Amino acid sequence: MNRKSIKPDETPARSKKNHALIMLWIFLWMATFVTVDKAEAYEWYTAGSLSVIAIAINAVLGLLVIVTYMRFLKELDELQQKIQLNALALAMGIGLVGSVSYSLLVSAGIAAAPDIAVVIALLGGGYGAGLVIGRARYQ
Amino acid sequence: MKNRLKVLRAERDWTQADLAAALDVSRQTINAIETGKFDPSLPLAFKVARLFKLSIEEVFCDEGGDQ
Repeated sequence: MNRKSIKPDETPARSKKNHALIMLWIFLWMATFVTVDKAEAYEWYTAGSLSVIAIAINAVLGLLVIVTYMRFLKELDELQQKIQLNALALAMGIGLVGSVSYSLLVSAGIAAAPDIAVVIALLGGGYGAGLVIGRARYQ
Repeated sequence: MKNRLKVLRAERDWTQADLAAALDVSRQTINAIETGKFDPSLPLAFKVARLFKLSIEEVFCDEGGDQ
């Protein structure tokens, strides 16, 4: 057998490359999000068209995150795909149930209207927890 | 589903990483299949059988099926 230079815990190189690409697009997307948000808050723009262009750039970077993630998912092996899909399902479940429960708390006057960051944190936390659980389960 | 992956790999003195590289999957996937925590898809099972030059039944067997 032709032994390839692979360390015991290494995943195939293409998955690492795709993962690095996703991290890059997410970083750029978040950076433009923060920049656009602050620019709007502190009124850095003098023309309304600049706001539209900045928001469009942020949206395009967001789309690149989605496309890159889909490619990443497609090129993973079947177990890694299963772990990722289970993590996404958990994130969506937690995000959906958490949002609906919180909206009921808001309706009941028990809690204040939530910030979008809370929903993002719920989704991110659910996804992260799902990955940890999945990787531990198949260790 | 039971399998003889660990035995077949040991007979050829291959590591999990070697087998993972040959099948183009992660080492975690090989480990999960060997320990019975994960059942491979039919295409991957055929790929494993082809690699060992065996029939699929010689590598994998259904625990609930007739033996």
